[in-house]
Amino acid sequence: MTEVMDGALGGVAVWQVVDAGHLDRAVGEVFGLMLGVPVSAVEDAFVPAPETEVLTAMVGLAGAISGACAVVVKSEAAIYMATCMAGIELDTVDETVLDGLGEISNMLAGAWKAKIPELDVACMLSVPTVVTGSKYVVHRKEPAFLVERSYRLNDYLFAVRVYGVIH
Amino acid sequence: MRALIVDDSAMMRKVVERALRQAGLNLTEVIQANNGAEALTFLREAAGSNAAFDLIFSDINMPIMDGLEFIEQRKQEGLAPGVPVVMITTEGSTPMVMRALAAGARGYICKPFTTDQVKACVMPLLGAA
Repeated sequence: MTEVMDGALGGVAVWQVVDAGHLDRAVGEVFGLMLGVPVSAVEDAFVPAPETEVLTAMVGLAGAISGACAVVVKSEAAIYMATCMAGIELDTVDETVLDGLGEISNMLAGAWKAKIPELDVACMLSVPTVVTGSKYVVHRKEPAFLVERSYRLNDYLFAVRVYGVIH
Repeated sequence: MRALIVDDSAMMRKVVERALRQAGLNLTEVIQANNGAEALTFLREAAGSNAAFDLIFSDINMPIMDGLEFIEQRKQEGLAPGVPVVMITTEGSTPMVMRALAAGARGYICKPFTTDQVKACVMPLLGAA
């Protein structure tokens, strides 16, 4: 899904930021290189059931863009991702899993902005934050743009969102 | 070979150590620091002992003291002056790379990375290319 609101975009070209191909390539690089597992984009949006335990890892974007890059996964998928990354078997959402998911969101944000040279120079990243729980909503100001894609990683689905305003 | 790996993520420290071993480095000891301030402490301790480091890997985006401040402070204090420092980070913009190189970094690797990239960066620094 890609949304663009009128009148809020500035120096960076809108088409560059909302090009879902940038996000797809960033996701492919991060999961392929750091986890050794291929991912594929899926058409149906990943929407976890309300009672499901969901982890949302977020990295803030500041500078040319004010916004965030968020990775949304069920706990089973987060454990699997961290297991692939660490190379050791993990079976519960612990500090290692939270750390790993945060780093994945960090690398995704970095790889995404690197696809847009104007952003790579002028957009800074925050350290990651990971929210866990069920039945929660991440509230944000109405973004000027939103790129949201869902992916399949073996048996697991997850979503990545990049959103914000461009200054 | 004794390496110092600086990253606020324990996962990334583990991943970097694994990549260094897969690249063929004979690591006898790996010291891990959560941020630049901790890393400086390790370097100051090493300066007063025989336990010198052979290689330093540092992330940039870290709380308390980031990687650029760390290597700038290291340079200012003259700590481990001959030890190669490699930045390994998501921040790959040209100004960031230039600032790191000006502060004394000898290599720069962007995450995500491959073992081959780590090897290609590190081996020449160790005179093993």
